Amino acid sequence: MTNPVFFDAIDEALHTNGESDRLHWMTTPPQVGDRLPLGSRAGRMWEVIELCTYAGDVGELTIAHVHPVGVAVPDRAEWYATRLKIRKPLASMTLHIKPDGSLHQTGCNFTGALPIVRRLLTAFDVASHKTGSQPWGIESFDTYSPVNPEATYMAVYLTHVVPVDLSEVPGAIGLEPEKTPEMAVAQ
Amino acid sequence: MSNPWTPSGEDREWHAAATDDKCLDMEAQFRAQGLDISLVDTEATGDDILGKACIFDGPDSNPEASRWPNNQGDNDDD
Repeated sequence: MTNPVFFDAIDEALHTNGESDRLHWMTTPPQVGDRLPLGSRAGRMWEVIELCTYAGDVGELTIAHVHPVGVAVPDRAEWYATRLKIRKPLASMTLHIKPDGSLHQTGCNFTGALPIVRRLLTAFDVASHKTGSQPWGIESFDTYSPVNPEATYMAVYLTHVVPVDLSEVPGAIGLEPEKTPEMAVAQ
Repeated sequence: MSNPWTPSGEDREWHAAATDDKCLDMEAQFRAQGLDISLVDTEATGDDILGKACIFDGPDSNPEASRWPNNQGDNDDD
């Protein structure tokens, strides 16, 4: 059985565009000290600094806090995860997963709200500040709760998203350009 | 036959940032300005530079708000 492992950068500002390979399905979770690449940036390895386990009805989910090898690890008090837990105690993370098991996108909620099933994901154009609907919707979700109460998130939600034809959803307005071939097909 | 899907239907205030951490900074900045507004969600945008959407709600949130007016163009103050 494989379980999801999400590799979360301690300092997100160090995470580069090519390093988007952040969700792995693993039979055994990584160990602290393990090193791995997170994408196509040649030569850069990330080290697992801390592990947080979340348990759900369908298995366990691990969030591995990682940092680039060779870069000094900041004190735990300076991590975004630490700051977030103090500022937003109701924080949850959402991992939107495509039918093939790959990561579509991530999100966080800070109010304790659950993902909304049968609702389309929101698209946001950073240049125009316009929002619309993505041709992807949440079919269902799994809930993972922290094993350790000191974990950053009060829950991690793994949503199962599927392509949706926007032309068949009244009121749904998409944004251009589409970003993936799957979205173009669904459009 | 009704379609079971509902559109995203957004009426909250969205801004772009480089990281989630910057969204927290933005919230602190708004509150320092006296705005009754809270960071309620973040989402990935897919943008190479501004990779996060910071989503705010509260009595002072406004989807049309321009919190950072561009001062480099025409000055319309009179």
